[in-house]
Amino acid sequence: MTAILRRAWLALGSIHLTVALCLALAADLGLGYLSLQRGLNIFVPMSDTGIFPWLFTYGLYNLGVTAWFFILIALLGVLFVNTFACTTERLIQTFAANHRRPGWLLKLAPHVMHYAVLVILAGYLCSYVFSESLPGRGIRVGESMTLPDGAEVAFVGFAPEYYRGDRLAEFDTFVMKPNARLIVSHGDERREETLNFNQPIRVGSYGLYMNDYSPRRQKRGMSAPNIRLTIRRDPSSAVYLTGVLLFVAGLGLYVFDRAIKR
Amino acid sequence: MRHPRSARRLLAAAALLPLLAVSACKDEGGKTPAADAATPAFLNIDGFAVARKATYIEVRDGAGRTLALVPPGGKAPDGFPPAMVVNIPVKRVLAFGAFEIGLMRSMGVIDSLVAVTDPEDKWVIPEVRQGFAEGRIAYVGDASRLDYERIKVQHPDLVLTWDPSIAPMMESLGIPVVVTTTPIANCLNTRIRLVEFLATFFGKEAEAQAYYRKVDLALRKIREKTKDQPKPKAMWGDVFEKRVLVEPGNAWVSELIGLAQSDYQFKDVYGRSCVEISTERFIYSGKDADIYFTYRTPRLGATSKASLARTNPLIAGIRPLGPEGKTYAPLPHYTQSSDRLDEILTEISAILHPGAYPDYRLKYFLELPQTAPVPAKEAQP
Amino acid sequence: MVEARILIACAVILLATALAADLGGLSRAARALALAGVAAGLAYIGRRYWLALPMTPMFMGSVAVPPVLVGLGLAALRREGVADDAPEGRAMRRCVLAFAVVVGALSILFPRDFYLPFLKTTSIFAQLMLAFAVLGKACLLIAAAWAAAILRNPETAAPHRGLLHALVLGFAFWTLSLLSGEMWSYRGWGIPVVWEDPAIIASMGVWFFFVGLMHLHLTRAWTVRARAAAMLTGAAAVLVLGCGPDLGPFHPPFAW
Repeated sequence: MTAILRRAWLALGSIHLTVALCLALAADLGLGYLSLQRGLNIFVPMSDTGIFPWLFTYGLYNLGVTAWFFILIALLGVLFVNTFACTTERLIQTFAANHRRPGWLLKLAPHVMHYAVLVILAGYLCSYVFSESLPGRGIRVGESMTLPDGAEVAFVGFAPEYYRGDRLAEFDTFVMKPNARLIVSHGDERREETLNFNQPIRVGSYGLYMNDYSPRRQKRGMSAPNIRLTIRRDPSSAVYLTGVLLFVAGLGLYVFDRAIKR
Repeated sequence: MRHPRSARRLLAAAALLPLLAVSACKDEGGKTPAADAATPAFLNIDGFAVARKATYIEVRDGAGRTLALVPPGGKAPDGFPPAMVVNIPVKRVLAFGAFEIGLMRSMGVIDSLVAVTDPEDKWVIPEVRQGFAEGRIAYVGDASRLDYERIKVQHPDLVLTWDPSIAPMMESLGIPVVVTTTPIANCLNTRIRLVEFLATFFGKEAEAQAYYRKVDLALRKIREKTKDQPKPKAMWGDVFEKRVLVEPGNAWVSELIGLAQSDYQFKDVYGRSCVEISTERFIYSGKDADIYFTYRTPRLGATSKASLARTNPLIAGIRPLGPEGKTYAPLPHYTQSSDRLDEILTEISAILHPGAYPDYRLKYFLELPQTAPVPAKEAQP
Repeated sequence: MVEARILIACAVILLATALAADLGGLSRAARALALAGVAAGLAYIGRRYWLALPMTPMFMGSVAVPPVLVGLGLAALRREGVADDAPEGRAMRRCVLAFAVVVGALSILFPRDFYLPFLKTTSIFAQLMLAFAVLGKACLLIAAAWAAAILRNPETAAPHRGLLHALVLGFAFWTLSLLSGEMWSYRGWGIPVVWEDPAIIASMGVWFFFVGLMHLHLTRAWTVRARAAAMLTGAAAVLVLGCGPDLGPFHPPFAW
């Protein structure tokens, strides 16, 4: 029984399987690239519905465009197991052979990167399973909205920064940074925050992400000053961000190790 | 290779997983009691979706917001705030867009319209004008300056809008909001099937199907009629104060032009409706275009090619504004005629291929003359 | 934009002339022309950035590759100590120039520079994503050029070293580009991956291809020739999936 398990473990961790899976993933993502040209919007709801409800609804309904994604999930699942088995096996070997030598930690760099990929993949999966998303929210100046946990967010106004210079005529008088001023009331706490593109704000366990704002130009605009946003709660973001940091650390160690060798 | 067989087996198992998942899901989907041929368990039209559950219907609107529609005798599901629950069929609607109002007309539910965001004199739809006359329909202010007191008086069950920023205020009044536009331009399929999404709110699925079939038939006829026609090059957009806005290649007009055996000059552009591109590209594409559709109506200055060139000297050199090309402007009732989408699509096809539609008289577009006819007063010595 | 287009056209013409001179045996002239091409290409990149800043210029992932590729390629030759007239050096240099000319010519004939930059690209992560992607593509194409040199003469050590170095570096840059994209996605949209962007999906495809190739090289599972041939296939992956999404429809050059 132990021998069978051992053989299965080695088979799962085979590097040849890794290569085959990676090439299959590359081909599948190439297919995905072509498929996406026909249906970009189909994938948008995935971040809101979660991956499994999405697969069983949008995914199946548009199978011609999404088949590659089903295959991707399956391939990533196998790659996850393969990477874990392969890396763990080699980590044990590397540690046994090197742990008394100076600088042995540098030898672990590739394993750190491999585990980081696993953490990132696990983080992605958790994010698409456990996150809560309220897309398409909007708020006009002078008005407020209530988040699911009871926090109040009031939109006070803009402190816009305009396009400077005349390099692109199309951006003349354009609001480059709206600096939307929000008053956040959460429990006893009351504070002012500034929301911009790529500059989300945290309210309790929720993140507020700006999607759009209006007016886009100085002294213009058809509609009343407003912002459009997505509200998300994603406890798993810490997992994949940790994976990113781990990967960068592993990569740094690896490059450092190679530099020393030269 | 040390374990080629195991590797192959694993890959085979991996390839089977999606198939298993697919078959499992099909069974689950088929169990939904509300589903039948006319009302499938799940319907996805671009960014819009309708999922029929046992006691309610879950819809996703163009902004990605999820609402629960509760039919008579149904039960409001847990987890939806009150303002995200709509009792259907809805009886009183505030609609922002003329397109949606046209679709309501096509489904025979325009009587449900109680409020609009354009004043009475902008409307050409007879039922809307009549609704104003009878005091049934009210103008509740411009979309940017809504009169909430007036809205309260009209007491709508539902708001159909393109602007999600009105949602918090409407929801505080207890009125559910549905966003009917998506961040990316509607493709032709979405344009003709949006009615199926809206039908769910009114319980008019059969009427929506009839509308879809009518427009689909028009598209088939267009394809047939234009089969062997020469391919003109068309462009759709305009310039507003240094900003060049065009219909992108993923928009319904681009698909229609392609379907009508013509070349759309911006088919490689992707994005929202009225997407902004560089001026150079617009001029470049205009150099060899045959037909140009402007966004401007005659009321907004599109009275002649010369007037367009005067308004936008930047684009004066494009071929359709010269004597060799043709330029068309939409007439004011064009945007309010979505119930006659089949006729609009046919008219665009007739513009592209006049040879295939002899004796066709334009109803929704105006072909611009080279210069505007001189008004009678000025012509007198 | 017209000045920028003239600059990139000059760069590609200079690089094509450098390739012709190299094939004609004029290696000094080829080097000088190549350096001039690099300068014109970098000026193009500078011009596009100057126009777009603080946003990121759109669809630069293909057109910015030629000058970076040739610049880094020439530096790689020097780093590995390969003489100008050595057969492996010639093969590698010509291959780099050929890749640069192909990518440059495709970018001029199939431009996609008519989009205005959009505001979300003001993020530093968007800037890093583009910069790392261009560096990654250049390094991976250099690795493929070394592979061509290996196929020509598998006995010499320098191309093997050069290939592994360029492959590791290219893979590292590509990974950093993807991670920057992830960070941008997290800051901008609150989600780990923007699945609906075909370019991101294509980039992931290239990444997995090179993960496979890295494992082949590091474990020496295949023969030297087979690995070199696989590396050349990698160049095709970079050109199709890496540069392809940044190309638009055909436009005759100089017709603007």
